[in-house]
Amino acid sequence: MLDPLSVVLWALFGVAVGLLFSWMPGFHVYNVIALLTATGLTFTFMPSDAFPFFVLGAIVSFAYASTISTVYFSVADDTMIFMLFPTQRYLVVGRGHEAVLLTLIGAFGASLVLAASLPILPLVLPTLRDLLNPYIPLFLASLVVFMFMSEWLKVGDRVENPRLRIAVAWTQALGGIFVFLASGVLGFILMYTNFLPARVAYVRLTPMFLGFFGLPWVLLNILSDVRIGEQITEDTVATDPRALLNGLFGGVLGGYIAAFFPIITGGMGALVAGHMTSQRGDDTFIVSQGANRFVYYVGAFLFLFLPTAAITRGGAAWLVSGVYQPKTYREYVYAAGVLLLASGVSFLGTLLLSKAVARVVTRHYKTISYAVAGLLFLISWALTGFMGVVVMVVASLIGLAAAFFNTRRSYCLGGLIFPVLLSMTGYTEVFASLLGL
Amino acid sequence: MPEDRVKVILEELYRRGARPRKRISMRLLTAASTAASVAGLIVILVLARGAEAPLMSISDVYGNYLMNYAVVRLQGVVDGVPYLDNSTGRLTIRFALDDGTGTMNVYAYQPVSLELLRLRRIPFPGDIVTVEVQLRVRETYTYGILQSAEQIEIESPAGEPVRVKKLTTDMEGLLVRASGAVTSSRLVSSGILFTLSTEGGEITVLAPELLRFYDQERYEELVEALRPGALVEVEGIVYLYKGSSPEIVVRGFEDLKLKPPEKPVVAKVADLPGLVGKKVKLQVEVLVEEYVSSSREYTLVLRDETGSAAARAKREVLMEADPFALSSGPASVVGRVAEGGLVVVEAIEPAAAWSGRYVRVGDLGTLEEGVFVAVRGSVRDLVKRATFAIFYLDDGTGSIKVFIPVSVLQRIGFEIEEGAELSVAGYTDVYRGELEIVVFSPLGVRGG
Repeated sequence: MLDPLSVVLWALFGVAVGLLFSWMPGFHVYNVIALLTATGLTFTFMPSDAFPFFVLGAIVSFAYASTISTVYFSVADDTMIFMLFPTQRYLVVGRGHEAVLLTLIGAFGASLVLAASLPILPLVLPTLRDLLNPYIPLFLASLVVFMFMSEWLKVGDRVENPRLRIAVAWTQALGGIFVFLASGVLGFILMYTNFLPARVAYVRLTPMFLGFFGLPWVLLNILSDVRIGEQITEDTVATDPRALLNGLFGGVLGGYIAAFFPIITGGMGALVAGHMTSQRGDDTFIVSQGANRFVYYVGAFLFLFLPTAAITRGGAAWLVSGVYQPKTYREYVYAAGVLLLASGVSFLGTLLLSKAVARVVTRHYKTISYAVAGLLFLISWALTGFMGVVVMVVASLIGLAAAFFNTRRSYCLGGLIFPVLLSMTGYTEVFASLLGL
Repeated sequence: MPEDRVKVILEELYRRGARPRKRISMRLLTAASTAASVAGLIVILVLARGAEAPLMSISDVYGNYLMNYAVVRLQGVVDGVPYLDNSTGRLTIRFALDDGTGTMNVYAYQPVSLELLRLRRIPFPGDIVTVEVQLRVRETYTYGILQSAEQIEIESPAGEPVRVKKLTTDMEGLLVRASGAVTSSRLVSSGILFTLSTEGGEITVLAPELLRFYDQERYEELVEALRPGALVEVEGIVYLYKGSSPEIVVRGFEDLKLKPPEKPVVAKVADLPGLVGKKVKLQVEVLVEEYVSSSREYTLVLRDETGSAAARAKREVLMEADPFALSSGPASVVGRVAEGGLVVVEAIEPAAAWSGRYVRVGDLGTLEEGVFVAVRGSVRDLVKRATFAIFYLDDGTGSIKVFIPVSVLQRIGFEIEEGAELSVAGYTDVYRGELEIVVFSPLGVRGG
């Protein structure tokens, strides 16, 4: 068993790694962890029981620092989709740093709520899981239907011809369905065939997600030739406590939904919670997204530490559980401490990073976009080889189609939801036959 | 507000510091990305059709966290009886696969498990199985999840089953057939476990819990029908329980054929050598020779005016007989005659009700060892241990040691205390040179 000092040191190392990479657009901390695992670098100098704390530190800092890529470089992953417009509004009027600060407030508030809930989670979650497990397929199917039903047709309202107006508007809705199904087919192939070699199975979905959410936005940044104006970097926010609390509540609720239910991601949890809590206002929205992402990523990973049940949620938890599964209450308490420590350090670190990015990096926006695009290809190739790059390219085309249809990017999650739904309802074989697999 | 002023405000609000943008046709981009997505998917689909899951050995994938979620094929022999669980309301089927390099559990969850059940495609011990699974690698445990009922191929041992009268460990995996009478039956977590008395000895048979999932009603009928004395013909695979105890595992209801109850032949002990394989009814005096704890059986001597014969009876058979009534005289014994005239006892019924006569302790030394007796007296020198209780019973004419095993002690229904007045009935035995009464049934202890 690790001593407390070792836990702190390995967690802080994780925070440092997270802060170092997470501000870059399209760069996910899971990929960094996967790279470290694949190369075996981690285990040559890190004890296996330190790995969960290292990853916890990295995920906490990712939940904070990835805000920078969201605000300054657009979307890094699907969970950012719903904050795209408010944060971009802040960015174009020079208040990017303020948007970052609002997100950090949400994340920090969520870290306190999460830490406060840790004593009751071992009592509540196992029962809740057993109670709800039989209904997960139903829940997933309902969520998909809800996503389609709540699609707001944004285009076509200025077309004069009524028929053409309907056609243009419905192109967006049908585009969403196309993106969902195309993503679903791709996800199905990757999950149930050996298109990618079995030896890289633990990262078999990574190139797909890099393609859905990472590469398209970098490409769009390059294509649209984005220029960012001068940014104000004062540490102040214009909001009121009620808006903060409202955002925090909605965000934490959405985060818990996403963390607890398998397959549901932060973006989808936020969609549901946002409707449940009737959020209004950009500041409330941005705070809620900060809270949502934090609970989704960190909360889901913390479930791995539950001594009363083995709840494995998210790619990082699955990766870590293959190396070392925390088992004791002491480790659970350590995790609570790491959560708060990493949260504080990441808050301050991200604040400094945000200022640096606002002052320096925004001037080299296009250069960074090219560099990140190259890096994404490199990661994909390093982890999954040439076939992985092929997958990333095809997934990027689907991600771009979502953007061009002006529909929700979260439909790309069909890559995960669709095959799982087929599996849960017993239609895997039927669909595989349909595809000739 | 003048239009040029509005333009300046909009420019200041939304485009501060930004350079003029180029126009890009969204319609063209949308069409191009859609077409390219579809084309890309088709390419991946074509390539995926040729990508078969690799056949791997269990030792190569077990504990290899880089293969978490990998779809692989495994081939091996099913080790152990499949386990079915629907305690959560969703059926899970689990079986263990051994490919010679290691053993791995394979799980089928709903709805795949229901489909396997419907297709009766559940492997049994000894089956050679090729299965395509998705791996889950945890720190200390690796398992596979079956994604579809179509992804399992089962090759069961075929051909004419070998007729056997007893089982040996070298028969593992052999398809066998046996027939005989049920001597004991009990419900265990894996199904109905019963012993079959054949001409060559006793055979343990498991009708797995799986049958209950096939047909609940028929399974319950089977539980009722497999009572001691029932004649059964079974067919199944020999499986070594815990690697050393051979038992036949039945694959389906059709492999269990119950024959109509056989009417016993009323006989004398002298007739037994000519009645091998037959069910007989004897009016005899019963003596207990010893209790064999490994097989939980008593070896008995059956005696009448024509001679004496060896017999054996399961603990449960003797437990059901009234020891007080047995102490009164002869009993009616029903059993099957095995090779050498050995009687495998299925039931012992005292010929008459208890006469109410107690033996005086002082007279016990004159009696034959192994005879059933009833004595009454007060308890002294009581010693209780985890597995038994021992005390002396004093009736004024002497004192006798009484031994009660825990299996009996737990069912007496009251606490034995020092100084209490008790009536006990059991058989006499000499243990380490000392005469004692062994109480073999909870019916053999009465207060007062």
